[in-house]
Amino acid sequence: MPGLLARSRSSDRSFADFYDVMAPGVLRFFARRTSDSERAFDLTAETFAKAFEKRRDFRGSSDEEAAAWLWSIARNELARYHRSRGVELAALRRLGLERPDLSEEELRKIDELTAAEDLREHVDLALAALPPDQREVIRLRFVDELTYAEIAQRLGVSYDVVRARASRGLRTLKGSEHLLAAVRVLEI
Amino acid sequence: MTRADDPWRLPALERLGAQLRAAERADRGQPAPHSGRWRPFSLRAAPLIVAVALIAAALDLVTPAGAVSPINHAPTAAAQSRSVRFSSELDVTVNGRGRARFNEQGELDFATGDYATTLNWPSTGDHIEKRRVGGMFYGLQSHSGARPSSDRWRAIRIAGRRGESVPAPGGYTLMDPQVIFRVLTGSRSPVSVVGHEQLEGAATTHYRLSTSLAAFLAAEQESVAGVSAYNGVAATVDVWLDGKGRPRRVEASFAGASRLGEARMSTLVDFTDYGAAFTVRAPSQAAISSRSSVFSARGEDPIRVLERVLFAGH
Repeated sequence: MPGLLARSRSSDRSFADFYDVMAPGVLRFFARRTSDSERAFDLTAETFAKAFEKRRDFRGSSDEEAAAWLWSIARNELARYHRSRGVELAALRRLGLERPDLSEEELRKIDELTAAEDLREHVDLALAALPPDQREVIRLRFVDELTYAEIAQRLGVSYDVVRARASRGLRTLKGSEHLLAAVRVLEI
Repeated sequence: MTRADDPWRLPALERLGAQLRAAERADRGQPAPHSGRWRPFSLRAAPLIVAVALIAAALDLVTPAGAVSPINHAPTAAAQSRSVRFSSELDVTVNGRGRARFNEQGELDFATGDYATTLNWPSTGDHIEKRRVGGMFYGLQSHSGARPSSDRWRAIRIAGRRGESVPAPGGYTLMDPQVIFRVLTGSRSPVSVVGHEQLEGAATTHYRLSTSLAAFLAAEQESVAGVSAYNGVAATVDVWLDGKGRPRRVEASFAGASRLGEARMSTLVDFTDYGAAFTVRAPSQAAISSRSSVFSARGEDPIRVLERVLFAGH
């Protein structure tokens, strides 16, 4: 069964379907790498416009190959953006497409999603630095919000052991650069 | 998480997808829907521009053809001094009761377009700092009670964006000297001499303009729809020019119907220190937020609030 992009050679809907599947991830990719919501959207639009122009050059057959092909276009666009600090939108113009304006709400949403992912990444890195037994207790206590007694029961260890692991874990996290970075994400 | 639940699936992506779908259909020999024209970034500030237009437009009432006056040359004379400092006040009343008061101080480099301003909202203690330097716009919105250490500047490139010059995010206000100069340059309204006065030690000639809101809006039709709706705004604009023909003071008062009642605005802008050397500096990188949107995280530009309160749906 050929992938969506491969089918676009014979179907009049498949590129749009391919776009529907890939676009959120591409926007997320650019938003996290540019820290600029508008530019991220511009880069997303230009990436798909270029992909649309070149879609008949795609020689693969599977969705995986199509995704890899699209990501190579996206990475090229990102590299061009980093060189010029601008987005040309030439392909979008050649196609006569309009770059949709982003509402304030959408701009804010992108900012929030980017910050949330930054935050999650920093927290994950901070937790990853803990020994497994401490990490598990911290997660159960502060993510799953179990009581120490419930954690002790679940892990089959004593209440005091759970408290000690939590205490050591929290002490380590307190000095974690990753956690400080997470706090900075929350502050701005 | 299903595709539909993906938080990154924004409406703007859907709109772009609809266009690609149409392009794909068109590529198969079916006509594509009208793709529309490119909308400049500035249109995001359209509501504010409407407010500005409503305010600034009051500076132009009934335009006898070809009536060029010293007022029209004042912006050029000012620009020859390369730079200027300004301070301004704006008061708004609705149905005779005070509604809002702002003041702003800043400096402007005519040659580069760089500027630095601080807009204050005394009733709340909030203020907004804006800087334009090197094709970048920087905005910092501070709220009373906010810890200074938590503030970060927002930065956005405004030069060369999509190949066009765009206004600073947040748009213009009547207190913006660039708006005032543009209006003075374009006005062909009757001008009378009120007298000769000393102003801050400078000998000035005091002029008064009869202005027309609709005439101003006619020049801004690309930005503002429904020009005729603004015909009913009465305005008086006084301009003091010094011996070199430069504005030393611009005072405007006008009244118009708003959705809350009769709105009156008065502005007073003083121009000082023509030719003074100053440098607009970008904030340090450490003080700049990684976020791109301006004035969105901590509230709104008070001028936007003003616009919405008075003129939304006008």
